[in-house]
Amino acid sequence: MQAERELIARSRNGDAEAFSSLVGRYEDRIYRLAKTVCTGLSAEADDVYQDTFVTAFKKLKNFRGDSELGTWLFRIASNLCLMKRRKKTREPFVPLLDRPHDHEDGPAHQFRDWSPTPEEAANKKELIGKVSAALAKLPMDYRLVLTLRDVEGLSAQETAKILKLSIPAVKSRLHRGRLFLRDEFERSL
Amino acid sequence: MKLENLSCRRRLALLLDYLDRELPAKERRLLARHRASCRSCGSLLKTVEHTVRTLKALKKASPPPASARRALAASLRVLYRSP
Repeated sequence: MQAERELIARSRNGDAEAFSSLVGRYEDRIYRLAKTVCTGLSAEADDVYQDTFVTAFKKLKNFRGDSELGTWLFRIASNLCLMKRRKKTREPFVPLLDRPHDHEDGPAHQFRDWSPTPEEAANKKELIGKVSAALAKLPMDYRLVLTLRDVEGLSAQETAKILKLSIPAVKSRLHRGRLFLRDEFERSL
Repeated sequence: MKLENLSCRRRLALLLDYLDRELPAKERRLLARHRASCRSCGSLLKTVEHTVRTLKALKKASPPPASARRALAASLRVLYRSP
């Protein structure tokens, strides 16, 4: 496998073959991010996937290499997702702060265990359908954090860098987003 | 620190940090003990863990469709030709 740095250098000089190799290395991850974040809108996911690499090729001269290329590509893709959201008139409103277990005072909320039996857990297709439907109800910035952290497995630091957020802001969105999805699962039972 | 004395919000934040293994060893041990003895917090953690596991399963999603790949290749061909 050719060194990525060499492929980047050749791509900067307009080498199509080198840039195609870079696309091949990252396209599955970028498409997955786009598809998960633009959930249910395959045309938007296709646009984000395509525009990410077109933008990357145009701006590769500005890539200083002080972060991983993958991190830089995720940043481009995330910005494109957010730009698409801004073009829309309204984002879904999620009253995340109005959860009974999120109140500072008052009686503690009692949680019940509804985690699936091994048979239910084996039906991954149904579970994935449920989690995708729940993700679609969240605002874009929450979807981005959950996708980068929990789907792609990036650290809080990497996610913060990509989304230009503080680490506490990433953690706050992550926790609220997970609790929202958990509650949606519970409601769907 | 006694978890029972914490506000609901603070306890919830600690439990979620516990899931991400972002707590010092001492607090982690405390949370593990609490998890074992408190049915409600144990249920919360188990169901959030299930939620995160399901999210991770999205990683197996399909690669870009051929039509999107073709469209990208066509856009890049134009860029490669431009000075």
